[in-house]
Amino acid sequence: MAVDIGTGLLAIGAGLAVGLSAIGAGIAEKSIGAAAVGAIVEDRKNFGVALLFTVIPETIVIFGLVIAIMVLQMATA
Amino acid sequence: MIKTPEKMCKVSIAGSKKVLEDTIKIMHERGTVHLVDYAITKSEKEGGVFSIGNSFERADDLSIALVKARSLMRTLGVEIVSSATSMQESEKIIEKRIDWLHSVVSGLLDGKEEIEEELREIDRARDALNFIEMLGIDIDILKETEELSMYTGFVNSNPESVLKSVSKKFELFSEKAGKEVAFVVFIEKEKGNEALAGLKKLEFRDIEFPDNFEKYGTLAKLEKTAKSSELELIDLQTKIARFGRVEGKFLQNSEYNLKRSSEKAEAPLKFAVSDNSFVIEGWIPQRKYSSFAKTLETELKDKIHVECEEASDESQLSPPTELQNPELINSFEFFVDLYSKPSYKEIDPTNFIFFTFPLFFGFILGDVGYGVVTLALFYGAKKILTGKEAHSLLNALMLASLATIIFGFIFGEFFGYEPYHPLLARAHEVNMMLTISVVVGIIHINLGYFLGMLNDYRQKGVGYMIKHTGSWVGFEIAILLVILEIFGKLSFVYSTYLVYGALAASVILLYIGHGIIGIIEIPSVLSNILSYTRLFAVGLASVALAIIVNDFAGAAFVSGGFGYVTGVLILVVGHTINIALGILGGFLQSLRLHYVEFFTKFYKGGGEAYLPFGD
Repeated sequence: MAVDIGTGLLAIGAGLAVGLSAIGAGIAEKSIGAAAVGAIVEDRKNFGVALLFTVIPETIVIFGLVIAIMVLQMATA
Repeated sequence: MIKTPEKMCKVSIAGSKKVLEDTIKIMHERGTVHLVDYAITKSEKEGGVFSIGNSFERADDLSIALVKARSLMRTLGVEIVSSATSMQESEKIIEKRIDWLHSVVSGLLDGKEEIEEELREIDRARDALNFIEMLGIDIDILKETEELSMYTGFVNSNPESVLKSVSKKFELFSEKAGKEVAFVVFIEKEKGNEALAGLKKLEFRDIEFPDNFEKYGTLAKLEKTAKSSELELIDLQTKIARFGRVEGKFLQNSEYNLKRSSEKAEAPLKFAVSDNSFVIEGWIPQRKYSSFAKTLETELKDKIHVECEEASDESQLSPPTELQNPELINSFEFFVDLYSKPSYKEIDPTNFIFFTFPLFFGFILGDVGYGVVTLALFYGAKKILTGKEAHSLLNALMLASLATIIFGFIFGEFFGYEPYHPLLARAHEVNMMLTISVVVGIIHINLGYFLGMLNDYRQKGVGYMIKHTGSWVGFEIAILLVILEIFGKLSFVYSTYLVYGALAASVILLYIGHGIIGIIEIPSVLSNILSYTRLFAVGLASVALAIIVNDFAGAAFVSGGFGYVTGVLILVVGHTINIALGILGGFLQSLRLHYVEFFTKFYKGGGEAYLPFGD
């Protein structure tokens, strides 16, 4: 499966878009998650709000993914 | 479709103290009134008319018996039941029997503990006796005296030379034990510390003799004692277990009935009482009120007065929440409760989750094979697990599995294989899938805004509706207009000015409705909608993994022979992992879309559960 350099660079770009945004989301989520678990231990009623806060940064990955898909489509075009 | 929690009315019961017990009994039997603590007003308190009631005299006895019954059940390993038959015997007799049982079983338990302690002692003594018999010395000489220090234990080589270098006056007994040397040494007191320092160089490991271990005599005698103690222990354990078998049913029944009686006996703590009368306050579903009032009035005639006040919008009262959903849909109340119970005046989102949760889950997992496997898995778990919450969750998940099967046919996927050309090949039609996800997102979010507007309107009127949730809808419309303008679809006079004017107006409205937070939150409209692309993205990851597993297995099958075994193994392990990930992903991502993107548009929660007295 030989691809030209341009396509390869596009693939790297797509990978970076997903990977770096995932790292960003991970960093953001780590402290929220720790605090959320603490809050749930205090009172189980906090579960809903805790989950809500924890997953908010996840959207960053989705942005990364959208970009990656757009980049890959440039490759197939 | 759009439901609010059950309509409640605030019931007040006032009556003569003579009928207090009967009133409690009737309320408890009907199990419809959610009692609230009577709030005594300041004037009532100062007037000295009302005070908080006292529990009935028998409450103490009942709770003592209840505690004893529960502790018995725990020690005997009897499970607490959630329903039981009522008892024929009077409470006094039940209490006596529990008391008797409790004392007998505690006696047995004490005996058991004693024997267990003795067995532990025997274990320690056995080590000591082993040590002494190995060295072949007499127990009686094993004592320190005023002139002699004694050291007992193990060292890594014969300590004789070390001891000799310290003093001439010592007596050593030693014996090789495995890699170490067991020894007892008596040495003159002045040289004791020096000898100890020497021994420590030989990795001295001290052993201490337990107190009174001499009483067991020889090792043979000790084993005899141990044997009889063990037999005694087994005997006691059988006796205790027999109590569990014979009295289990009785304990379950009495725990249940005592609990109910004790609830009744302690109920007056929530009431206001005066010398001759009482007042009870609570909430009752409106449709159940008339029959409840009728029962009270026919049973207790003119000794009681019942009235009900509807929870109007103006009153500051906060009635408890009882959701009213039909059999299948109420499984999804689990998801709502997990977030927070709806408050009394809010729209109950259960109906919508019932529709959208399985849809999202199915869209994400979307594979006939995985759907069948997960359906079987959830069905099996439902058979094994007990508990209302677990059943609700599993019912919901089973519906989600059905949706997975349906989407599996649409996507044409069977464990990652694509045997026919499907309606929608999601692994290949990326653009189509992205579009569908975004459209689903726009619909879902706007459904949320619609419900939000309805909530606002019902709770605080039109003005609030327009500036609160309406401002977001206005902003969406403005954005839509701007997009149309940019693509030249709007071609009337001054359309440009009008469109950007509308955008500015909607932003101002956002500022009025939500303050600066509203402006900051503007990008969230886009991020919320794009968030729905996870519907497709998570599913795509699952498909990709399935295809990889199948490719690996296929490669193994080609090699034949042993390859068949490897191939099957790869298929089983790979798909198991993928199904586990798929369930987790499908569940969490769907739930998140509801909690974060959908609920934030209209839902607040924070309601109190309706827990009727005696139910």
